Amino acid sequence: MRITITNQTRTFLENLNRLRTRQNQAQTELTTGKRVNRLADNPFAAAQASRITSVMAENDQFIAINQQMRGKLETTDSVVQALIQNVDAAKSLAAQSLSGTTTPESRSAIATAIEGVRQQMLSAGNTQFDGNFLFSGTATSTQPFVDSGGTVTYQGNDEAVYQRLDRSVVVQTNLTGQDLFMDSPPVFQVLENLKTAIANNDATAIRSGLSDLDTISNRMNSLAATVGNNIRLTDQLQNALSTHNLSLQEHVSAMTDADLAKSISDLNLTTQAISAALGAQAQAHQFSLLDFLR
Amino acid sequence: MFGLFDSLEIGRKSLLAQQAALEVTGNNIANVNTPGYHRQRAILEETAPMPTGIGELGTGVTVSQVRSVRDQFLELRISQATQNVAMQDAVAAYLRQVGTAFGSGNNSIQEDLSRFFNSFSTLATDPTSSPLRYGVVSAAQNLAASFREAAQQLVDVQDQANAAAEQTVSEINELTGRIAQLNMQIASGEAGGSDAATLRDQRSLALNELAAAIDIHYYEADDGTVTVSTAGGDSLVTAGFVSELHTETQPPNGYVGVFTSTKEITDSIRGGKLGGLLDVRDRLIPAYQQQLDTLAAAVISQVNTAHSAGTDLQSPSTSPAVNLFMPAATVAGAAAGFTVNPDVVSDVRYIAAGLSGAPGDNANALAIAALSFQKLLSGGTQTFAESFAALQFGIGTDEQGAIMQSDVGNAVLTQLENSRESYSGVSLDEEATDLIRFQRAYQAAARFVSVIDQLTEELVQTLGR
Repeated sequence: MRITITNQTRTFLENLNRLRTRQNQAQTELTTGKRVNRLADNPFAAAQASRITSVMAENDQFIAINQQMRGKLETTDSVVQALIQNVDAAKSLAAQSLSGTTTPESRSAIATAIEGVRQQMLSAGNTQFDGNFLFSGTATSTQPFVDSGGTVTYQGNDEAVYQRLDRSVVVQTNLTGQDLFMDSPPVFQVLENLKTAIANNDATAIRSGLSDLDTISNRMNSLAATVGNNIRLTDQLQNALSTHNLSLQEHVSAMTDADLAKSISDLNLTTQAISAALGAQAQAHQFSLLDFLR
Repeated sequence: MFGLFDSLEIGRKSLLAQQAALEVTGNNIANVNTPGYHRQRAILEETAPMPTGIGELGTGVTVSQVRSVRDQFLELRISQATQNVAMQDAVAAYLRQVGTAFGSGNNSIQEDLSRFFNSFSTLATDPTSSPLRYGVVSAAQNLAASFREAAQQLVDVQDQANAAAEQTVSEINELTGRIAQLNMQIASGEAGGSDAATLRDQRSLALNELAAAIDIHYYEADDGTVTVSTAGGDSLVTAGFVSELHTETQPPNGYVGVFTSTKEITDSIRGGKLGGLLDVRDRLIPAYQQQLDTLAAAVISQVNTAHSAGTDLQSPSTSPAVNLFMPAATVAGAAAGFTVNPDVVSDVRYIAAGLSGAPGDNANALAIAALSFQKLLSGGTQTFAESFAALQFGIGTDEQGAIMQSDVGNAVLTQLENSRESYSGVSLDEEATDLIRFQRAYQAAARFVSVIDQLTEELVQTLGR
């Protein structure tokens, strides 16, 4: 085969370009830390990474929602626990009034104490979270409980508020005033009646009130259990979502991150190869017969 | 009868022939780096012998012609390889821009889709909050802007490809004009049987440039002219005649079509830079546009449908609620026309977070947020995010394919060009050898003339005394 100078220089330039391209690729990998910098570098990995990034953003959002819902549920739980203590307090007051050693003065004091409990529970029923009433259903800007002359009316509704905690889990995040206070027997009415019964020393009515308080206490305890379950659920979901995101992150890294050791060695190898090629080309003077003619 | 003067004549012819051959060698050396140059050879031939009683006597040498060394078949293969490489290079260059706009470092639509649906999920935690409602509006505006921007970038690339196609057509006309002119010069130059080497070199270069611009077929006729047609069979050059291409602006978007004098050939152009530009403009970009529009139209209509099912916070509250996005009249253009309903922008109470009208009702916000992970596209197989990722995958694959084909085509082209160089290129070793050959022959011829001169002198001196 005839080899001309043009053949030689073209081959040299082709090879040099190939080396420079590889060197450039290694340099880009090192400076960006990524193996996939353009869609065309690896369309499959780039598209997967794009899709997974969106799932990770969604998971981050669910983690934030779970955190926030945990706050709301904790507030709800602490209010319900206080209410249960209130009911217990009312029960022991009522039991005291049945002891048979009461005087009209002590009964009046007990009735006043019951009224105090009622006021505390009324105030608890109007608790706000983030500026919204916790126990008025979806009518969150309406104060749920209004007391007029000992008769408490419920202004909220009985609507549940749900929240999606991950793609498949939707839980109720509120307790309505209806569930907590107004279902039969209604708390405020029972306390009001108990107050009157104690003032009148009506043992039958007091016993009936005590029984109602037991029912209410049971109801509140079971609602508190639901809330407690949901709090644990938000913890579990936050863990699960964080773990999921970690594994997704690893997956994306494996697909798109540069293998730095490999990039560095590529860079070194290509740089050496380029310098060797340049040196060889510079030294290999293009001898021809002309150099030897006198 | 053969005289001394006849011998002198042989010497003269030899001197002239060797000198001509030296000149050809010198010219080869001079053009060692000239692109498109094919090495030339002086064809030495015996002159007509003289019949004598003792048989034929040679009468010397002459340069019958100077011929360039070229392989038509190789030239043809190079022009075919050039067509392919030029096409893939054009596609890769333009898709590179698209790839950057939709690339992995620039997931604006993907991120804005997440932010938009997350803004509804956040609103569901407190549907009464004005800041969260403004958050929804700003996320919606960002999403709309990203879609419009992406649509605009596609149109920009398409516009550039169109302008470049128009430019390429005028380059093609310039080249076919030059080829026709060279055809005529070669035909008249070679009418006497000689080889119009320099003109042929120029025509080879022009043919190669033409092949880089558009896919062509050509063949050489007996008179040395080439007949060039498009790969689709439409004539471009016949001898000295040119069939010029022209462009015409066409509806709907004012892009140019390519015409011969009689018909449109836009769709039959499948190679060269023009083929690549038209492929980008008419096939690749419209496919991306369609996918982007389909995604945009689905987001608009799904979000609007879900949103209308809710009840806003106006007093009195209205249901069905207004559209969140301006509805797209047609799927085509949905991305370019992606806008948030200005009523919602100016009054966030129009956002329908609930179904009942109660301020704490978040059911509708939850429903809209949940759209993000429902498979609503491609016959219920893809979420919005997956659909966008599929578009990215398509763009990346197309660009990668063009780059790979260009690499492969370039390797083939390099190999072919090396073959041509090996066959037609100037080798200095070979020229140096020729220099020695012809120099020595010239010296010998001069010696021969000098010998004959001495003989003649002797004859004149001795006999003339």
